Parts: sequence; C-alpha cells; structure tokens
Amino acid sequence: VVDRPSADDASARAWSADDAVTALYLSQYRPLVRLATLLTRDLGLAEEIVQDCFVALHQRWRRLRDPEAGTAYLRRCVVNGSRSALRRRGVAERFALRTGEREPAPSAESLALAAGTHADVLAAVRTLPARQREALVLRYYLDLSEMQTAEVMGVSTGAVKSHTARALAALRRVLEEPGR
Amino acid sequence: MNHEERLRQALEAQAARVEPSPDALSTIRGRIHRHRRLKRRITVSLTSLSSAAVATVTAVVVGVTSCAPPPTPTPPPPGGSSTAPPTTAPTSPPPSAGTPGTVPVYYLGTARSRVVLYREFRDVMLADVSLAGRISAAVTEMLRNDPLDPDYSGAWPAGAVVRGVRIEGGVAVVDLGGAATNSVGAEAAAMTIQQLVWTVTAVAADAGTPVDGVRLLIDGSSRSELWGHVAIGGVLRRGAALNTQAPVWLISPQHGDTVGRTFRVHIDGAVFEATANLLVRNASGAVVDERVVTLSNGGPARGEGFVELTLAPGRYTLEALYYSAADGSPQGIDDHEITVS
Repeated sequence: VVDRPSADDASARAWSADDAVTALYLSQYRPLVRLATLLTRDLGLAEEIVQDCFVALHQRWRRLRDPEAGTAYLRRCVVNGSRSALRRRGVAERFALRTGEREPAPSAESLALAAGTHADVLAAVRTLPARQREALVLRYYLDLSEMQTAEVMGVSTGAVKSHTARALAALRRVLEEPGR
Repeated sequence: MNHEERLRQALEAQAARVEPSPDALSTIRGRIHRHRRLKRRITVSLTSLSSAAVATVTAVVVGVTSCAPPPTPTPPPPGGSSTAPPTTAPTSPPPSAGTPGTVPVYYLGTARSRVVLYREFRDVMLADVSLAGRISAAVTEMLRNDPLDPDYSGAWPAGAVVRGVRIEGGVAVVDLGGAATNSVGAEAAAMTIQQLVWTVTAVAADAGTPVDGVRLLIDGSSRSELWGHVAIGGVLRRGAALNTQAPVWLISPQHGDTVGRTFRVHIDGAVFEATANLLVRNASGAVVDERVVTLSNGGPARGEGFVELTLAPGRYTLEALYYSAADGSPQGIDDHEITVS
C-alpha cells in the first residue's frame, strides 16, 4: 500500500534534508496519515503526528540518508506518536469522565462507520488492546512482513506473531458470535 | 471470505475515507524553518565569543547541532510572512553582543487535560547582566514560542517584543510591544499571562533577588484587560503551583540533550506519597528501564528526586510520570528525547 520512493538510490543519496522531506512527503504523507488515523481514529491528531515526524526526519536526515531508512523511520515515528497520543488521550478522557466534565459520545466518524458494510470488523478491531491493533494494521493495512512489523513496533518477531494471533482469534470470536 | 480478507478490506475501506489536508507540506516546511532559525541564531552567537566562553557553552550547542543538518539555504514556504528573516527587536541586542547566560523560561503544556506550565533552562545572550537584563532576555526567549521540547508550546502573538523591563519597589515592570491582540482561548490566555509571571519571578529568584510580582504594560501603558479574557491590572502574582504547574517535570536532561553513558536524571513534582516514576524507552519505543523515584516532598507540596542511569549509546526517550492512586493510570507524562553518546 505504501509506495516506495521512486528516486533511485544514487540520486537519493545526494538528497539534502529539504529534498528528502519533499520527496518522502509526496510518496508517504497520505499513507502515513491514513495509518495514524487507523491507529488513533482522529484525522486532526493523525495529521499532527505525521507532521511532527517529518520535522523530526528533517533533523535526522544526515544520519538516515536513504529513502528506505527514511520511510522506516517515519513509520516507527508515526506508530510511537500514535501510541503516546492515545495514552495522553486516555488519561485525559478518564480524568474528564471521573470529574464529570464530559460524557462519552460516539464520534462522528464512528457513526458514519456504523452504516458501512465493514462496521462489525472495524468495531471489533477497535476493542483490541493497542499493541494487537497496531500489529493488525501494520500487517494487514500496510502489508508489512512480520520482521518489518517487529521493527516498526520495537518488539521481537515472536511478539508480533503472538499479538497478531491473539488479535485474529479475538476478531474471529466476535464475528462468529451466535446471533450475529 | 475468510476473516483475514475481511479485515484487509475493512481497513482498506476505512483508510480510503481519510483525505489529508492538501497544504500540509507548507506547514511542515514552516516548522522546519522556525527550528533552523533558532539554531542559526545560536551558531552566530558562538562565533564572537571569547574562547573561554566558547568552552563553557560548546557542550550545549553540540547537543543542538549534532542532531540536525547544517544550515543550508531553503526556499521560503509559500506565502509565509512568518518566515521573514529575524529582525532585531527594539530592545534586544544583536545576537553577538553580550554575555552567555542561562535563564529559566516557562512554556505551556497539558497534563490532566488542563493547560499547565513546564520549565526549561535556556541559553541566552545577556546584553546586560542586571536583573532587568536577565528578565528581558528570558521574556524575549519566551515570546519566541520555541521550546526545546516539542510537547510544549507558547501562545504569544507573532512579533511580540520586549520594549523594556525595570524593577520598581520589588515588582518587575515588563513592557511588551506587538502583544495587544492575540487569538487564544480563555484558558490558554490566562496561562500565557501566568507563563510570563512564572518566568519573570523564576529569573528573579534564580538571580537571588526575588520580586513580588509583575506589572504588565502593553505598548508603554497599563491596561485592565488583555485579549478579551485576562485581567492584567495591578500587580500580577503567581497562581497556586498546584493549578498552574505540571504535576511532574523532567527537569534534566532537557529535550534534545546529549549526555554521557552515566548521567543523572532530575525530576520535580507534586505527587501522591512523593512517588514519581521514570520510564526509559529506546529508539523504537520499547521500555528498557523503569524506576520508582521518591521525591523530597509528597503532594500537594513539590519535591524533587534524582536517579542515576547508565545506558548504552543511542537515542532514548525519558518519561517522568506518576500512576494515579485512583485507577493506576499513567498521569502527567513529561517526556524528553535524548541522545546518549
């Protein structure tokens, strides 16, 4: 799903940090925002996370240097950024609920999805623990290998296997519930 | 159709609905440009220092420049008036003049779903080493809205400058220009004024000459209200620390610092039973160390604590936080990315 940057290695090696940001923006911005949206369910937040990662990429370009490494860095950054954004949002929401500041309300997006044909699968994905959801999105949306997924998530391939297996088992249980 | 195939199609369909905003590249370039301007300013100020002074600040500057490419000319982002080259503020000296100094500067951040203050120590050039000079340098730095830690922010209007600072009867009188209008919400507006008060009073306390509060002038005259939200008449004082300060601060190392393999982590906070926690994550986000840090005081008082860490060279994220006594959830996370060399 994520396109490889089209420039060949020889010319990419000569990229300045500005060139790298522009080229990787063109090929990666949209898929990365989509990835972050799948993980956080919040487009505004997703764009912020991805933009932060491009600013960080610019600072580190001298050490990354090639588009492959840049793409891998961006993915790791987006997964980490989504993870900490969710953690922060969870903290904020629990606080707001506890103090009665806010009622939990279904987001506009979740209402739109409820009408869609994939609603049951997506609803089931949303109930998964964060790491399992990450593993599923990286494996089945980005089509990364177990090894690539492990690298992006910062865990072993064994952990990716078990997160994926548990997540699929949970999905199967939900989707095959009697009465559906 | 099997479940894996359904999952693949569902994720694909959901992703396809997501359409990012079309002008994000110029936003990104603008942010990169602001970052780089700050760096260039530091580099320029270095060139005119005596060699002794160079030795004392080199460590800090290396931390800043080593994680970023050397400054090269950039095409300016389209339509960005904010990207004009830095102009010298009326009272701020050219960056090459003065004595290097370090001043506390507060920034806005969020914790417990509120806007709260975090503090950084910033290296600045002091045109004059008097208390007024130090306050002027710290406020000038604050008005740039450019904290080291990208999780922090500032909400001062672009173009705000320090017109003058004087100390009168134990109160710091700060005169700001270009700050008469600002589009911020009520909470951020109030905290932005607290940010000024905490910065000014912290500089004074740090210099050993505490001040009672701050009198704020806008373009040379006093006003009762600012930005449609905040009363600024009379002497402004620090709000209660519990309501204005973040519950946990990771004081050092600061965001972007480069440290040796063994280094000391300094945490400050107002937390239940004086118990804060420190998580160390590696470059891929995995937790590689976790410590309980007992602070010198328990909440509601602020206390501080220190931990010595030894890490292999690499990039890490340090997270200072505490776990809620009510439900065990992580709270008040202050995280800094650092490099261990």
